[in-house]
Amino acid sequence: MIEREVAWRVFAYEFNSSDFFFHEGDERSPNYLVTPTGARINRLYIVGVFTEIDNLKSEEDMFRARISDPTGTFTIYAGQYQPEAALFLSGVDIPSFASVTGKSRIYEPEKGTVYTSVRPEELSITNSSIRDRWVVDTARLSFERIQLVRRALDSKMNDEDLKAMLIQSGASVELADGIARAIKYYSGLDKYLDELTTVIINALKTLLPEDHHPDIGIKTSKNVGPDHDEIIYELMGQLDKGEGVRVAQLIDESKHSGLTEEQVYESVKNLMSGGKCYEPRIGILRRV
Amino acid sequence: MGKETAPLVEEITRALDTTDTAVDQDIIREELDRLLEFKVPPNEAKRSLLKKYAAGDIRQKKKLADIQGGERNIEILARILNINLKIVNIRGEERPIFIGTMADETGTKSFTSWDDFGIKKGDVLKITDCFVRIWQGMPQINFGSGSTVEQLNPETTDPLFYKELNNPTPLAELETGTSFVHTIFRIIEIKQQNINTKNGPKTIINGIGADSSAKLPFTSWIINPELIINNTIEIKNAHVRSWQGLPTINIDEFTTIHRSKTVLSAYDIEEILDPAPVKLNCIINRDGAFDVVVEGSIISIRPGSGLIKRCPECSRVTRKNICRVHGSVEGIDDLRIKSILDDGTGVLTIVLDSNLTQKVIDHSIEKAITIASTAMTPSVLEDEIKSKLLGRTMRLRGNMTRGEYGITLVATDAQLIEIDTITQARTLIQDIQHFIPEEDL
Repeated sequence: MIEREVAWRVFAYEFNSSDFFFHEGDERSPNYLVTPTGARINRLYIVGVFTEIDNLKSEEDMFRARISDPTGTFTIYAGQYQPEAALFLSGVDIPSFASVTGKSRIYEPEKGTVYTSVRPEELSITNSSIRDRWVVDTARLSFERIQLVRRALDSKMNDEDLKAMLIQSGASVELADGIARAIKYYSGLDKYLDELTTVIINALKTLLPEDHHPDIGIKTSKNVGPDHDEIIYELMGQLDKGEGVRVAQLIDESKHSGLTEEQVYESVKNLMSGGKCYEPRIGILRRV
Repeated sequence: MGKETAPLVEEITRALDTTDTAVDQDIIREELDRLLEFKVPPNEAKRSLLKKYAAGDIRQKKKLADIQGGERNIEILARILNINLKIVNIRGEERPIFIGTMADETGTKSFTSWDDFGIKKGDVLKITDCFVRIWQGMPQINFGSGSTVEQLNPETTDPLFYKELNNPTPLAELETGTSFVHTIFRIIEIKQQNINTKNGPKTIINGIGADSSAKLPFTSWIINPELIINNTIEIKNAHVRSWQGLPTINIDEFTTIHRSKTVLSAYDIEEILDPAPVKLNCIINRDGAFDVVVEGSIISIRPGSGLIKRCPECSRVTRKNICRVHGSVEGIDDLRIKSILDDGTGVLTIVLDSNLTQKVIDHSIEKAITIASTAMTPSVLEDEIKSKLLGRTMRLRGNMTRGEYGITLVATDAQLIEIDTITQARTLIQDIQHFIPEEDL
């Protein structure tokens, strides 16, 4: 009897900063992507927003979809061996809330460049409350992993001793193994964990009512604060007469609020990666 | 080459010695060298020679805790804990077999005896040429006409009956197949039951015990005055075997029962009686969990959910009104849900019966039948279950078992959980910031 692999909860930010893929045993044994917090991912579960779906049509139908969470974007590929998923993707409206269960994949076009993606097993259309719940669950589980990795780093332990300690601290067998591998593979984890913590807090803040962001220090390395993002987001809503907003128009209008072109682009980038807006056509923006 | 093969030659000679087959070392060395010259891997060469000279597999003495599926020609020294007659139908022929449980100092295992060796409960036996097969996910000892069964004097085999036991084990850590169990629990449910055994009717006691770690069912094959409700008892030399997929404590003649000096009050087991959800990774590595509460996301609805028909005789699910056993039947309508529950730390299959399915999809079975007949297809219910449940968070209570089809929880209660994500997000932000050092903010 082969036991089913657990479906990990990770944010796109963490998934996309992972580049450690491994495979042990015979060809039937599973592949794993190990993230910096030690999630040992064969399968994962995502709830987010479809922002882009393309039929790549190289030889066979091959669909590429982008699904956003508040921290970034997952890329999904479905081809001839995922007929149900491909059929599903061919009929999805953009934007829409969706859940995906799938397998982690990587593509390494050259040494040192790694793209992560998801090969879908099950896709379905869902709603914002299920997405919000996913964000809370994913934030909680991610933060638990961060704390366990910190404990692992502090302990200076290795391998079996380390795994035993982590299991004692509440980690699953799979997570303990993943963390033992992650701390060997990834360098600069301390700094990364700080960044990820900030990303998680910001993701949770997207769930709070707009006017009620508690003033808690978010450090953004960028010179654009969240208030700029909000101005652009509001403008986008006002200017949209049903067909989206031209970027040029958005820049013109933002000048009244004293924003430079660069600041507008920066904010648009933030809004996109936060799953708040998308680009239905080149040069046209629209709120999700 | 001599240097490399020397340890291998010795290994083979030693193995052959145990089988009363004496073969000259030089012959072994010569033949081994020849095999290695043919580039046969050393392990295969060893196997080949053992096979040639031992005229069959090497008999191995094994302890019950070490046996594995597929092993043959093993020798077991064990005490029979119980044995029952069963009539099975093999190729149209009725045939008696004997099934039961045996124990040695390392553990207990179930067994099947395909012939009548006159084995009685309590016998201490040396059984040679047994084989091991996997039965319901667990290795099981099998023996029959090709095996020999030798009665040993029970008095010389004390270690098979009792063991000096030190610390009691919490109930959550008891595993199926453990012998010489020492544990302390409070009896929270108890009832007598009359059963028919090989030796006529017998009264046994079934109950449920609890400590601060878990609840477990127990069965006592003896009557003891301490076995009364709300008593905290300390038992030694009991064993744990699987009953309906759950680890069950078995108390027999060899078990000592005392009233425990440390008393578990109702307060001590409060959390176990009204359990909070446990993370799945905490239970899925156990071989069964009794009455637990879990919570997770419904990430997949499995085929066979929705409106199904069952055979009126055996309750098996029918296909096109054909029962696998009873042929063409008029199936009875039933509702069920089979789905995958995953909380990010672990995963299991959950099964909801008709009542719970009606509760979570908020349709009576009559309504479901109407919906299906209006749509002209029963699969419309499966689609409706998908749209109502997929992605939702569900809390379930029930027994978790591990079997051929993986880990399953059959629900005794189920409900969909709504949370206030705003409050949860706010609390979580505060919790996380609590861990960030001041200067980083």
